[in-house]
Amino acid sequence: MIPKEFLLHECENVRSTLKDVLRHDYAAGSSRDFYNEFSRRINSLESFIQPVDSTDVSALGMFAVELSRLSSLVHHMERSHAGEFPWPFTEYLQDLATPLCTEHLAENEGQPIIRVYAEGGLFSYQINLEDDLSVLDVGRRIFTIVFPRTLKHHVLLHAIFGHEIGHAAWTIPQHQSDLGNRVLGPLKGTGRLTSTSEATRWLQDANAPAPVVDLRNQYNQYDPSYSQIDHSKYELWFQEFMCDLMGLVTFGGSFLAAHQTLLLALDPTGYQWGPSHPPYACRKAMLWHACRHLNWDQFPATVKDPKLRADVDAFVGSYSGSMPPGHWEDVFTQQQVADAVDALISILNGAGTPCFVMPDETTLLPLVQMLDGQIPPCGSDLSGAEAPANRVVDFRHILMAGWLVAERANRGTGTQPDFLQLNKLCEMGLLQQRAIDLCQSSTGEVLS
Amino acid sequence: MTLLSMYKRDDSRTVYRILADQAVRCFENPERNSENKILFANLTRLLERYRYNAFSYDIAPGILEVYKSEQRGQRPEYVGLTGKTSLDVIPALEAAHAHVDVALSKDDLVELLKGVLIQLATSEIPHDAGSQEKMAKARSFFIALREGLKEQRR
Repeated sequence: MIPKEFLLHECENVRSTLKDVLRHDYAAGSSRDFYNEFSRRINSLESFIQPVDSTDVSALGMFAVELSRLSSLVHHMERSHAGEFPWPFTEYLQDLATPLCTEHLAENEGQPIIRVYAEGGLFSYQINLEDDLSVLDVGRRIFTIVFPRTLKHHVLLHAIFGHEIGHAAWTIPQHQSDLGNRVLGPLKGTGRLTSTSEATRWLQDANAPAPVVDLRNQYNQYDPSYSQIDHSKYELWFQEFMCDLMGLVTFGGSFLAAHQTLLLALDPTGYQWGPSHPPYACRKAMLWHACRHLNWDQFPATVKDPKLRADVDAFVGSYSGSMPPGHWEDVFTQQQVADAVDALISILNGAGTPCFVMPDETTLLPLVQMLDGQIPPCGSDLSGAEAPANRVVDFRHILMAGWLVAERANRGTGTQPDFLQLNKLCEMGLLQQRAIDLCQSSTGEVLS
Repeated sequence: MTLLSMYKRDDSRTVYRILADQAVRCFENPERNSENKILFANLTRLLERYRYNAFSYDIAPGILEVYKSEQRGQRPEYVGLTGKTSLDVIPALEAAHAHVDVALSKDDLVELLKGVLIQLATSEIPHDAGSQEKMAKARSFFIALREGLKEQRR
């Protein structure tokens, strides 16, 4: 069998797998879109392969890679059937990401198709974005959200996906230009990370915290580039800073908590860095400035209920930080971060992605009280009235309520559900809230 | 062990040589169908990148991949990844731009090309001189792009 014949045969196999995949129940939403886009791609690829000269090795090689990519994609879809992921959370995530990630190609085109599947390993949180120019033929881009299989019910931790929205936005050329100039511009403009050489000098600072010195001693002997910041590392680190700010302004307090919980769990020192990620300590320092700029440190003072106030106070102390960052990790000034946050909010508003707004007490208290009673937190009217007056609640406020209650465990106060139960309650709350939202959008009824 | 290991190639040159070639054929025999709309959408993606100089890293790392670089090795899209990709498409775009009208800004060029592609995919091309001139410029751009990508392959 010559390569071209095999590729045409494999097109049939991929098409047959797609039909096989349809036997599963999928969550409501984009299955039809996926099927249509995928069918079109495989048909199109076949039509590219049919006329190609059998000696055109570069085209045949590229078609093989493309076919393999489609084979992987359909396999991922097979694993994304209903029951394997918290779909109400995913739909809310989709609502946030879609306006920002819509390509401006022509009228009525360019909305991505968002699908989800679970993968093994704690490191698997990611979004695959189909952002590779090597891809031959993409009508609508398919964003594949991946989360750790063991954390499928942990919607409180899934707030970390706010960060991934930043990477998704970065793939839209106009946003990349805006984010680069208006958000990263202020961060790169002054301070210790203005260039690769300045950043390297900072990373090699003799007065750096002890864990940093230890890491340098440990790794430099194997890899001298470990403590150097080249252009690639510099740009990737800044993209991570931008994505953290994106997570903060899109998901709010729950992002702060998920970010700290997950990143510190994997690096309890908080000082490790990699080729594409800066140390957590620097990221947290930047977020500390951002919270101050957004006046979140003043939020506890606005709460009157003493129990809720204690919860909010503890939450802000734990996740935003009550003390200023240490000198080494505090790489940006308050003004730099303020300018970056303001620019980011302006970009999000322009794109139609709603930023997180801190809830007021009348919103937050009932949600926390529902969790205290082990009731899924949402805007459901539980009074038993004949015509229930359900309320619209921002799903991010449900997540924040969950984190407020979870934080009590760290203080050893009260008896609250364990973390998994809390997550499941919040997941159910999101599900019920989604139903309220759908009811509102289908009837046009104003529920609050 | 996997069946075969290879360094990841950047196929963008081949991809856009094929797509530019198809675009040129569409200019010669315009057909308003959905496949051409998709072809033009793919070309518009490239043009938008050119307009905003957005040829940066194609693959976003997972947020928790900070500390476990071997995880990258397990992701097929990372195999052999050495940094920026698609860079060899840029000189071909620049040459095609210069070939059409070096005085046109990137914004104006991309708007012109997008306008012609949308028109080609959805409606009759008007016969007035202005429209025909834009059409000729767009065709000339995609021919130059196709040829530029061919030259790069030698």
